[in-house]
Amino acid sequence: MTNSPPSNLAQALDIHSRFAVELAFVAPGEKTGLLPINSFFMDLEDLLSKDVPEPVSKSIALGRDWINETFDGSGTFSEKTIKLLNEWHGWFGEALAAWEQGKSLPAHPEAWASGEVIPIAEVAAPVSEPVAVEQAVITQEKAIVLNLKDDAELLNEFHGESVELLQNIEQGLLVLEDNPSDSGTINSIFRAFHTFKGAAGFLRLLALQDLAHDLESLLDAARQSKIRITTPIINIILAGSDALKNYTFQIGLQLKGTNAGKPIVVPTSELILRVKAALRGELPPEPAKEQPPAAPEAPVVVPPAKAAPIPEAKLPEKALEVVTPKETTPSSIAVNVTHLNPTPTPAKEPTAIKDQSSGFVKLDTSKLDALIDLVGELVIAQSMVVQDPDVQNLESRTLARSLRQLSRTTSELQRNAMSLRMVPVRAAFQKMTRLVRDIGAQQKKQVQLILDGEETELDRNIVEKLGDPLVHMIRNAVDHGIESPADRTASGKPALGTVRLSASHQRGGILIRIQDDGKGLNAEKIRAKGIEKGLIAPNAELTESEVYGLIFMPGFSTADAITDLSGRGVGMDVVKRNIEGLRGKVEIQSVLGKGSTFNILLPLTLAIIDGLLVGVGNDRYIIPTISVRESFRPKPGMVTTIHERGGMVSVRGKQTPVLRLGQFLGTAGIKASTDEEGIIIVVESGDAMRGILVDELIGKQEVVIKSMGETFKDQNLLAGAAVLGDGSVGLILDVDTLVKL
Amino acid sequence: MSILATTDNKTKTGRYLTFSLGHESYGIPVLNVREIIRLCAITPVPRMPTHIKGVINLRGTVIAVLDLRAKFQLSVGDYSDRACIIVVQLNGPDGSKNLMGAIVDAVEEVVQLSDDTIEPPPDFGGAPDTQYIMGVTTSTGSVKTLLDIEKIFLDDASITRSLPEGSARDTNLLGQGK
Repeated sequence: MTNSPPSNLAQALDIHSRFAVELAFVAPGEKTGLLPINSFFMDLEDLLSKDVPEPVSKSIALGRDWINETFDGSGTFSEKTIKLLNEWHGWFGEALAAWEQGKSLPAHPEAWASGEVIPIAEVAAPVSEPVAVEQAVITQEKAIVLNLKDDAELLNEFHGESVELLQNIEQGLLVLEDNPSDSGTINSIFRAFHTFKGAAGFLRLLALQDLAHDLESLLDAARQSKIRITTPIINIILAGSDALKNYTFQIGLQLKGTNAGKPIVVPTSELILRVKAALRGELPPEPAKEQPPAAPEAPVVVPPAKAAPIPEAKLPEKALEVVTPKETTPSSIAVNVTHLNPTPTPAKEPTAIKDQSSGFVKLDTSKLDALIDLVGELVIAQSMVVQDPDVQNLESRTLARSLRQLSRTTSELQRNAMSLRMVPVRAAFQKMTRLVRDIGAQQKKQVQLILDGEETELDRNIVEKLGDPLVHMIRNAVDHGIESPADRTASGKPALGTVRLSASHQRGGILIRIQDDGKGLNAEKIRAKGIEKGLIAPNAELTESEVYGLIFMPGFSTADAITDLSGRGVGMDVVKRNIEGLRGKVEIQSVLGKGSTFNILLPLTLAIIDGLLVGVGNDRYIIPTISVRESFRPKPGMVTTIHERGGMVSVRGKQTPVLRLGQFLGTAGIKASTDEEGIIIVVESGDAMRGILVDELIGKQEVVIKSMGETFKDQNLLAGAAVLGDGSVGLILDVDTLVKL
Repeated sequence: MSILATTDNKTKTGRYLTFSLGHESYGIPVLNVREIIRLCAITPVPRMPTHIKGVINLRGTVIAVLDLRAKFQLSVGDYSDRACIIVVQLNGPDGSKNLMGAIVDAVEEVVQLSDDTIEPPPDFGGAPDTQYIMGVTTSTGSVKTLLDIEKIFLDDASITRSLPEGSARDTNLLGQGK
């Protein structure tokens, strides 16, 4: 049996095809292509370094030898070398294909002068690893050792499915908490554990299988009404699910290469005892030692008398409402149910458990990204053809028509490809419900999380990276924002605090809003802290939003005591940086005593922006259209000066400073010698506006943003580069920097 | 890919690509050379040091291009018609590969050198700056200066560009108005 192919087979194939291109241009007596081919061999050597069948690694070594000989010799290709390389290329392609399909590799052609002919079937067979699971009893906990070599693909699938199953289980449990008699949800959770158990058993992950089995039994008992679902039961199951999550996470890490091969141990014996006790009908007290980190320590205690039903007025439309634990007596459940809003589905049906058979496919995201990159290059290539002067000079109606058709199809293709990346924010949002529940319980506060607009779609990369900042801000909202029930009632607020997380499309981007009805931000305190930490001068004049902005500066924190979650002063500045890394912005609004709102503005996609192409001198720059307010050619006298320097122009009644871009950048060949010969483009960022004076407005274009690489990492004038239609590079200006100059 | 390091205890044996800058001859390890392309239109990037010529589009990837003559402060002249861009590949600290381009006057040849044919750079006592020089060789008949290409490029990899005074990003919060 041959080795299973490596995950970087795709890269090897890619090098193989690029090799072909170089090979096409080599000629005897020339050295064109020598260096690239050398580079390719070295890359292949790096890439295919582990678990490689001998013929493959030998062939790469041979290739390197031939090139080295060439270097040592004439430095140009000889006929013989070219012949060898061609043969090699053909052989390598076949070998890769055979390897991928698990077939035996073809033999080296005899002509390979090193004389090492590898017989066909003697491919290095892997030494079969010991049994996948070692039942080593380590301090009463079962450890799992993964057989990464043989089971990599299966483990990958298991990992992906488990993450989804566990997420569904968690959501289902939270729903079940409000509605313990919801048999649909109970069934779904039961089935999920059952599926999980089966998959774990198939891969002989016995520790997982056992735990899943116990949890499944618990759910089964509930299903048959043998035990009642109460909050402690929910907590146990959540704890169990967390343990499984922990395992799954560890498996994921090992699949990525971290800790590969080390035994995985997750303490579960105590959990299992609790589960078994619950099955017997006893509810042991919560253990003193904390189990999986997210679970609350003490059973949730809410001042019973104050557990008032949620007033109707609080419920907005279209909300999936998750209420944190209360004493779930039958009467209060009834209260919950009646207060559910008109949209029929929410807590009744197991909305959290997704419909598994709904015509979706699971896709490897790297394949998706590769596809999108290729489509991007296609668009550029297509555009270069269309804009080529030689092509434009060919006067042919049919050609013009065909090219137009080509353009249309390519644009459509690109739009389609980009939409493949869009996923609803639901995934990121729903994680927050558990978070709010747990923190609320931990801090003995009553908080509800209301989600809105979860179906809003965003680029999947953004959704992924949004997770952390969101967690942080929601934590802050509950930790710092929402007051304790006693304080709230004392100030006339309902004891139940509300955090509202919503997403909507706005201004060509997405607006994510975190709103709480807590105590709001204390501008005075923040300002004082800012002065104390030396972040602002004592006499500085700041607008309100600038004061709030101080909390984003590193090292800032007004928490009197550092709570476990926040208050360490390391949070908010990282949040801001993460969001800015997504080309987004954060804005804060607050009313002391009433609450705060954090607004996060994000672009729809990281990869493409709509840009305004402007020309100044001999250069061209791109300004993101989203930041452009308007543009106009200034009439004589419109631009006024102060002390004969600087420039201002009135934009809708407001005096706006003007930046003469060409002058500022030191561009050669500036065409507009007076302001009136140029065009002013008014850009805005946050509250600030600036008029940018350029020579001309060339056009509007959707461009793919490319990173400019390490060299330009720390400068802030340029947001990136784009490849324009004619193949040249256009530099994208960072508007935030421009308005502050 | 092992990088030929500049520290004295690592071997310098290997192949080098030699090229000329003005009247002088230099060499860099072949391991770092991705490809050679002819000189094409370079989009200048404003407010960067003069030796950073700008960026180019290399089959969809935007890479920075350095003018080595400017970097070493050689007399600047027009580019000869044999001038080209060497695309250099550097291994980043996290294993990623960064590409950068270097403009040279002409590419010469690939030579095999070993530790015993490479001498350490002479000590000029200050000028010129020898931090980028890995060694000197005469084995090919003419004197070639071997460069620590990683150091040269990584130097430029993270430079903070400051804007003119009074316009640094956060100054307005410090109470200094525009």
